[in-house]
Amino acid sequence: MAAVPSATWQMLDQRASGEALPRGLDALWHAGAGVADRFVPRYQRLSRRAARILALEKHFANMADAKLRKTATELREIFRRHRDRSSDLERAFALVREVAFRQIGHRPFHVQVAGALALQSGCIAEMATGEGKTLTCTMPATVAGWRGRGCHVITANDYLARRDAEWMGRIYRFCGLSVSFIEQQTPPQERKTAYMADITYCTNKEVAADFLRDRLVLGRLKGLSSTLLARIAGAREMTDKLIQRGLHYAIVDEADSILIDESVTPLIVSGHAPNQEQIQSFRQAANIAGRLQSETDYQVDHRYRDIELTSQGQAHLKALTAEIGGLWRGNRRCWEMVNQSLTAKELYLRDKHYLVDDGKVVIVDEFTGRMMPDRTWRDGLHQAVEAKEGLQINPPKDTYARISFQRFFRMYHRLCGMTGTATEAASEFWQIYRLGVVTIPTNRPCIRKNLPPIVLPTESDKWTRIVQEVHRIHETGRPILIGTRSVGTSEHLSQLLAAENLGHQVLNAVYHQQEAQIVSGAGLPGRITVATNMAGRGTDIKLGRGVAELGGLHVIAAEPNESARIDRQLFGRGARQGDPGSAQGIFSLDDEIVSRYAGNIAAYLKSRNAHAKGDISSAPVRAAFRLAQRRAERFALRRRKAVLRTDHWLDEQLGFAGRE
Amino acid sequence: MAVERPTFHESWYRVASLRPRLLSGVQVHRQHFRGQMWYVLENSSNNEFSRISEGAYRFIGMLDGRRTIAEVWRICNEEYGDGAPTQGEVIQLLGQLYCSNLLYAELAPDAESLFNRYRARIQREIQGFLTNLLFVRIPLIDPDHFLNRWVGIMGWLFSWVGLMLWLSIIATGLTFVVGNMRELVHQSSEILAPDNLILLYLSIILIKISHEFGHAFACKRFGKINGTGGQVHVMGLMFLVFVPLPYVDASSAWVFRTKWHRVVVGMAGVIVELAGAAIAAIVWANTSTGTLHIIAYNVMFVASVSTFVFNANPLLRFDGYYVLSDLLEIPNLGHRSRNYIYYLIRKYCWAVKGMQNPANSPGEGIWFVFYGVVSTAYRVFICVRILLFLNSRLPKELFVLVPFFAVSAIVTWVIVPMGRFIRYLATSADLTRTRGRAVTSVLGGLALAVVGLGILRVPDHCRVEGIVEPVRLMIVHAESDGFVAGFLGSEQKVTPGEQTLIEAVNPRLEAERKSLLAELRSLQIRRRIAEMEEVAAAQILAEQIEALHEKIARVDVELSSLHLQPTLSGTWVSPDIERTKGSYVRRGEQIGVVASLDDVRVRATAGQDLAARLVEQAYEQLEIRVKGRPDAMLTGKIEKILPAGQEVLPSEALGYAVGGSMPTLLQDPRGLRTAEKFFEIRIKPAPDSPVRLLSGQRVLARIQMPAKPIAVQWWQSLRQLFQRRFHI
Repeated sequence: MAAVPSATWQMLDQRASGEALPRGLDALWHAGAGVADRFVPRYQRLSRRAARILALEKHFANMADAKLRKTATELREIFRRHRDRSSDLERAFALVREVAFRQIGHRPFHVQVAGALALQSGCIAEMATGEGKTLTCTMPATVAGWRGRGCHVITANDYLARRDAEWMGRIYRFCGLSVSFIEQQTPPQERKTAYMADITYCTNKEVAADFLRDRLVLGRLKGLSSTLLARIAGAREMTDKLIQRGLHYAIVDEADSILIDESVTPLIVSGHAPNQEQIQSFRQAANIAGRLQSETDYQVDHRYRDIELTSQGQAHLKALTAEIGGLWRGNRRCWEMVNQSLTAKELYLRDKHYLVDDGKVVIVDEFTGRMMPDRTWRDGLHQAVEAKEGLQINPPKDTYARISFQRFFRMYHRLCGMTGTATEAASEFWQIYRLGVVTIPTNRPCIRKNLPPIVLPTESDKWTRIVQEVHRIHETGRPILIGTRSVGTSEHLSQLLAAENLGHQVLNAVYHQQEAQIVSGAGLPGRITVATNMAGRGTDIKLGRGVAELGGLHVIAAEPNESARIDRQLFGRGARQGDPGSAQGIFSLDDEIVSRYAGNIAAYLKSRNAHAKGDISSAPVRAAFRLAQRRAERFALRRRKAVLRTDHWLDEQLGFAGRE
Repeated sequence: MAVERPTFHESWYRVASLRPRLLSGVQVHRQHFRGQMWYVLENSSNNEFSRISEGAYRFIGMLDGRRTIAEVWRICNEEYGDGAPTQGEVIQLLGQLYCSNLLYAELAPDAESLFNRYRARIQREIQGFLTNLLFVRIPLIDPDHFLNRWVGIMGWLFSWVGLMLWLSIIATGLTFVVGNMRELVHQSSEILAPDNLILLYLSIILIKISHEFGHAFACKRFGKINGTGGQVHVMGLMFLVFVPLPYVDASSAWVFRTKWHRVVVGMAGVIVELAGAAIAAIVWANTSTGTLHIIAYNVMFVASVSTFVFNANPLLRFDGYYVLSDLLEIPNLGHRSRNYIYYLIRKYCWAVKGMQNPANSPGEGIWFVFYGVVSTAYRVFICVRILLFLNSRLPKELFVLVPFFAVSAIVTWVIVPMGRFIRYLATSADLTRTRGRAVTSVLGGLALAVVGLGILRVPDHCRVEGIVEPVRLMIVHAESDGFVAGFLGSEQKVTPGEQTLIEAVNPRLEAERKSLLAELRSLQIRRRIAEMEEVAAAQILAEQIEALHEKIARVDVELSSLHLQPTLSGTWVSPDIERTKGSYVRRGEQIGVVASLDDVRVRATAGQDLAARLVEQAYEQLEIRVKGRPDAMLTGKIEKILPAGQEVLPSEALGYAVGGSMPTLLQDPRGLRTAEKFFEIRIKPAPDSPVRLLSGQRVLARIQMPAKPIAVQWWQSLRQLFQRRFHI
């Protein structure tokens, strides 16, 4: 029989999709186990073990390079054959520590080793930013590399993939491992060799896209047996086109954003399917939508982002479509098109949800503020927005393959991750990925002052207060970072600050080219930076000279986020690595999170504080904000679980169509 | 989304380019339901059926293995516009067909998912088995071959000739039944006698086997006429409340095009049973005694009663249900009526938008509401009845099963649906916008129920049975032997010293008196002589005279007691007094009663379960009803509750043996000794009542107790039920 490379074999042998989420009593039990799991004192155990590893320092420090290499080779053999014992792992980590010191001049600290052990045991390690996560993951990655089935280190962006692969590569190569990285522009042939390396640095998008391309190559061959049969039947070259070698081990950096925030975003491989008639109809729909009147013809529900046609509107719509033939004859399709156009008109706002860049509609991620040039809205919404803006309409693309990151990462045989904020999402990590969370303390104690939030009754009061605060702190010379939830609000704040003659920098999608530069300057004395919450994530804000003495960076959150986790991420940008710093939220009862998820309470609090001008923050008000956030988190988790369930259901129903 | 049926579906790409078709073995049958066309797909290899709508079939019909799904979808859209299925609907339809093993795609089936599906099915079956222990089905044999061989002979029974024959048999049977009605009713009391149980069960088996074969042959016969074969592949045992009975799977009748054929198949069992009952009636009427006679009676009983209570009853999931749903042309009536009621609640109580109406026509909706409400109520009722029946009839060793079933019934019918409901309320996506309203309305309903059941006080009462007795009573016995010479007629008022109740003569006594008097005289003379002659002898004679006087006095008393007089005023009751004239009564013989009938009281008995409540809580005033006279109602009041338990009833009329409510010991021939101690309540009827209570009447006293919430009352009765059973 024709030989199949073992990497391909392993890939084909992999399970088609993750296990279904448990249901009913099982789900209850499973969730309960997750709660119980949080009370396991994992860190203490890891810390003791890390101390044992640190104790081996002298032993390895005394070895010559050649001896060290030889020991690495010995360990590699042990791990490759899965004959390793607990002491071998400790030796391996101690060895990597030594190698790191010799190659890049950093020797991982106690907490980093503990973090590495957490990763090794299949957990999410919660480590504050600036604590050296890049270095931490070298230890488990080396061990995984030695095992010989490949190890993917998933980074937040291409730049980090390249930087980390090059920087840490020296450690790996010393340990006898090959390292590679994948960027968006890496050509397919190089990708194949990159994936064949022991350790591959790449972004979640690239690795998932390559996975989908492989699936497309395999087409309807579903698994190992059918592929082998096909090879016997003569389809030889098929397996040669495969790029990846199976999803075995992944270390995910910024695990919360990849595994949770972005998890239901599907990655789609698509192709063009021009359809002139349809393009015409999008324009007609936009035209019709323009002639319908809000309130009289239709009503907009902003809370649920929904449009409803009134009976008058229905009549009007009938009259408007009467003379046009074609697809407008059918009632349902016609309303669907108009609905999309109205949604585009009323609910998708330029510069908030999208930008027009070079004659194209570019989606703006509402939360990161990043432009997403390769993303499109589905079901004709994108075309409706293009028609609304009067741009050239790109026909909807045909989907070839599609997977959500949630499903993709559940397919890994072993998964672990690192992030700055994970405890808030511990139940989701557990329920969806079966990952526990271990909180690793910082190397030096954190001395950030978290000031109690200031809450104001209305939004305009809030902006005035924020400007006042900026004034006050700016006078002391401390740098200030103000986090907003969306690009729109950051622009608004920028105008307010400009009106007060406060010189500042804005970091959002519009200026994303200068992102790194702005972020690195944000710690200089007297600097005011306005940024969307997620912008520039992963880049350190280093304090300028003399700033630490003034009190460090002050972070202001201008709006509560969907999750307390993201608030904490923002606050975590100041006072890192033992630096001083302070953080405070300045919120109002008009903010979207409270008005959407605790509307009744917010309305009540507002009526009670109708005449108050200043800060109305009190225990019940703060509780209302917490409640709203918790509701939002729960809602989001439920939605993500529902997506996973639907995917699983579809898999079952469409078993005849081959796997996704 | 405000769009109810979005045209596109994000997973469309997975199916768009496939060229599936129906499996070659799949047969398609067209049926009309309430004026709409439906298609039933039959997979003849596993006897499974799927019903799809006309629109769906138009789509499926175009899949021929050469066109891709995308092509067919486009054709459908051009052809039918809004009526064409959306992408999502197509995916759902294909998934449904695939999961029913009706679809052939050019790919090899995914073996893993096949096995998963199989496992899930087995798991579901086991779950169904465990949650429905009172109705378990075990498939055993495949009777198809046997039926094929005999259908030629048996099948003609389901024809016009058969109908005529059947009608004549039923008519003959009925004439015999009407002619022997008295005897029939008389014999019915023996049907549940212990020595008849085995014969009864045998008759049930006999009847049920013919019942099932009735279905099977009817299915075969009409299958032949319809050309669908009418396969019957499964026959087995069903444990209905632990009683093993046969069953047959005649579901292939679902594909028959004419609804009357389906109805007849559904009715076939009942038809056969009724014919059996009629034949049994003929046999029974023409035999007098012996096993055959008894079996015939049993068959008659079972075939008629069970038919009307169970099989023909559309509220239970037996034949009647399927016949009804065929007659109404609403398949899956039970399930869909529940869905429809949920739909109504969601739409109108909770204002959920964009719900799909499960009813295809307004007529269906009405039926759904009606059937849903009635069948649920009946189901609860029958379940409680079965539990109570088990509770009272199961031997003690098996009694542990009752709480087990009660718990399993509560879990499957109360807790699990409640859990689902709460989960639905808390998390469902349908309710995102109206969750507040939904939760409020449910809480409101719940609050109403709590107030109604738990807080509002409702009068509480209990009923005790008693017997009417006069307060004062003199039983007149003959005090000495004698021939009755005269008497006072019965039912006359008497007062002491005025009348003589009965006069008798006793010649022997009178002769004795005379002889004693003669002897006395002789002694008196002898004493007088002795006084003169010998003083000592006179002394002795005086003593003898003294003794003789006493003797005479005694005889006098006896003689006077031949004239009996009343000692209290009242009514003289001696119904047979006329017959005593001239007859000889012996001493101690009861002759009649003098009782004051205006002054009666009720002696009621209460079991231990009631006693404590009665002593502590009962109001004095109560209502009394005379048994057998529902119109007669009078009031009374509790005079006294005798606190010590007694074992001997005041009258045998209160005992079990003669239809009373108190269980008596079997060993006691008089039926007075009770199985457990009871408490006696003396009740005094109100003096000015319109109805006169008569001594010896059995009455029911309705004792009023302080008003209590219904929940408390239920809880008390439930506790009593268990206490009585366990003697805790």
